[in-house]
Amino acid sequence: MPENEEKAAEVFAHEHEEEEHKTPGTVVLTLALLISFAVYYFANWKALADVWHVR
Amino acid sequence: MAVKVHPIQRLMDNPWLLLALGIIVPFLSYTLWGWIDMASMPKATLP
Amino acid sequence: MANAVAIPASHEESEVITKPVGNHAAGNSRTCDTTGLPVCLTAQLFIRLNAVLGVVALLAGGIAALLIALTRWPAVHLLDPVWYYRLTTFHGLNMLIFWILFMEVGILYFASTTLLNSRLFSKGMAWASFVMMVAGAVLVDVTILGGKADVMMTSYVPLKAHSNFYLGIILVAVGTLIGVANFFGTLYIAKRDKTYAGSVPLVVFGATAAAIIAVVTLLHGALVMIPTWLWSMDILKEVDAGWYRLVWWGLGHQSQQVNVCAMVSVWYFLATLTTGAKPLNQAVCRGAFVLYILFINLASAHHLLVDPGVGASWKIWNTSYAMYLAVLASMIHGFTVPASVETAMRKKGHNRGLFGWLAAAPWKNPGFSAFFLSLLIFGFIGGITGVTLGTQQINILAHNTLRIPGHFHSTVVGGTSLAFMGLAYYVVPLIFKREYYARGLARVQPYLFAVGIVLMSLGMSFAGSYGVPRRHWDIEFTGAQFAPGFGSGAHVMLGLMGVGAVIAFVGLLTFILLTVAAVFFGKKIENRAMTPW
Ligand code: HEM
Ligand SMILES: [Cu+2]
Repeated sequence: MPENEEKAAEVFAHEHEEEEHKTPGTVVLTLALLISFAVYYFANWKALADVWHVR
Repeated sequence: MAVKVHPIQRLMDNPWLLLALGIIVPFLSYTLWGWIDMASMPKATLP
Repeated sequence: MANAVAIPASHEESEVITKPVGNHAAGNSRTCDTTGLPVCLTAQLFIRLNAVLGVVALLAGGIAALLIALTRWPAVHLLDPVWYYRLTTFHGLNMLIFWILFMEVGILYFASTTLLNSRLFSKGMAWASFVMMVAGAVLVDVTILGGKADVMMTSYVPLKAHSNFYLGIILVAVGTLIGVANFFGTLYIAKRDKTYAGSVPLVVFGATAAAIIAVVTLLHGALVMIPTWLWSMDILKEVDAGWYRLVWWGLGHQSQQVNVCAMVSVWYFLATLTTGAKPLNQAVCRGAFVLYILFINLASAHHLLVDPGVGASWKIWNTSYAMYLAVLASMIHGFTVPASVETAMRKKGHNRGLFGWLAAAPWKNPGFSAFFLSLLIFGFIGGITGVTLGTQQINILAHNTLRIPGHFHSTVVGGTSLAFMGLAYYVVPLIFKREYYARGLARVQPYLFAVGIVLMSLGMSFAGSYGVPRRHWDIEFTGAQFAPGFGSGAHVMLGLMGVGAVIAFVGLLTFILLTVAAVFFGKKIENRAMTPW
């Protein structure tokens, strides 16, 4: 990506105009993460309930 | 004429204050509180 | 700052700058031919030294890794028990402490000088830091390999090692603290000398967060290691085991948060270098780092969830309520980093469908692939397992099983170490000014390492779900009165772990060989930009 690398120095400077962004792909990735987490977390509580009976 | 800077931005521009907070918060919440819990533990009754 | 560093890359200005510029003394800075960024030559020297020592530690820890992984794989069961525990101790310290800390001190020097256009605060401090860290690391390694410190990396009392082991750790900790102080000194002179205007760049802010957390970490290290050292020399009568665990994890866990901060900063850095991505919202990204500074260290309490000495309120506050603020911060970074890449790629016209931007990303650039794989592994495996294991009730299922190494090999290895490898693919050309050989192999390396670590991490996690303990030489309990409890499921998972470990080791060795070859024998880069990946 040579054309970007030349601009790297400017990009690291902090002042940027805030622009409009649309990032649907990242939103989908994030939802996939949240769903995976929910499944894993729930499975762990289930496993805990299986071995640790509360009477 | 001073420009108004948001207080949170001022916090973020002050590494020394962040350093102080970054030491104090975990020290109180984790270390000191942990010590207090341990010190208030009753003595074991085992021989 | 923008105009200060946007010097066009041209032949005349690429050499060492002979007149004083900014706060650099005459002849002590140069302009990078590739990025146009200014480089302090003193900082450059120490970035090089730290990177070399980091890679040496990675090699030492990597060899031990292969041997212990082949021991945990029951079908191979390579080492005898003494060497299994000895090399596990050796692996933990060389990887988690030495490789990571050497790299991080280098990163701090880089961020505070190059990105702020400043000189390094003190060359003397940099030498002191480096010499102490090297001496300490050598002392620790010699003591372990000499059989005088088979106490695991955590050295829980009343296990007692030779006093040189603790002395070595103290030297490394104090050396690192001096390096961190040098970073803060540089922040101070950069501000005083007005080498930049306004707020510091985001990568520097992330590095500052890492440095702050490092201070808390190293203070806890001194607090726990000095009494233990005195105890190992019989000067102190006793160190309380519960107290030790509390304070030790103020070192052991908090250092992981330094890694998280450093890794996230490297993500932002590599995202910019490889795709031209810019942080989407500075305030939000910085706010997330502030949440790290304030709350992430409390999470150390998850190591004490089954300890009797601390109460339930302490446990739940520190691992749930307050800590979730730090998890929130990780989720913010986990969103804004890929989102900034998506924005940059879409702006370049890669707009097809949901993931056209991702498909068109520079996957052949090892700087990018290492960064993005690190992000995925850290988020999907490390994050999900971490939040789950850190839940007080669930922890009881997983405590001291292989689920724990399964978790942290996806954070500190698949996450941090892989990101640092991606960084090396730029540090070597830009700071050592050498080209990599075998660029095809370099392009494959991050995938190799990532696949290996994912397999190993999943194998460990699932074996741990069957109850297989960590730090255990013989889960078959050969010759014991009771039949072993682990069925074929656990064995399959341990096999998966073993295969993954071998692949990861090959990936790690490839990285080291390529990097050593480039640093010492690579084609010099003088008066020109690096060959783009
Ligand atoms: C090729 C890469 C690697 C392989 C194959 C590997 C493999 C292993 C294995 C098999 C264990 C022992 C688990 C047990 O028996 O309880 C272990 C422990 C550990 N590893 Fe790794 N590892 C690798 C890289 C790393 C890296 C890069 C780090 C840190 C940055 C790391 C940090 C640790 C730590 C802290 C332990 C715990 C040691 C202890 O329980 O005292 N590993 N690793
Ligand atoms: Cu931890």
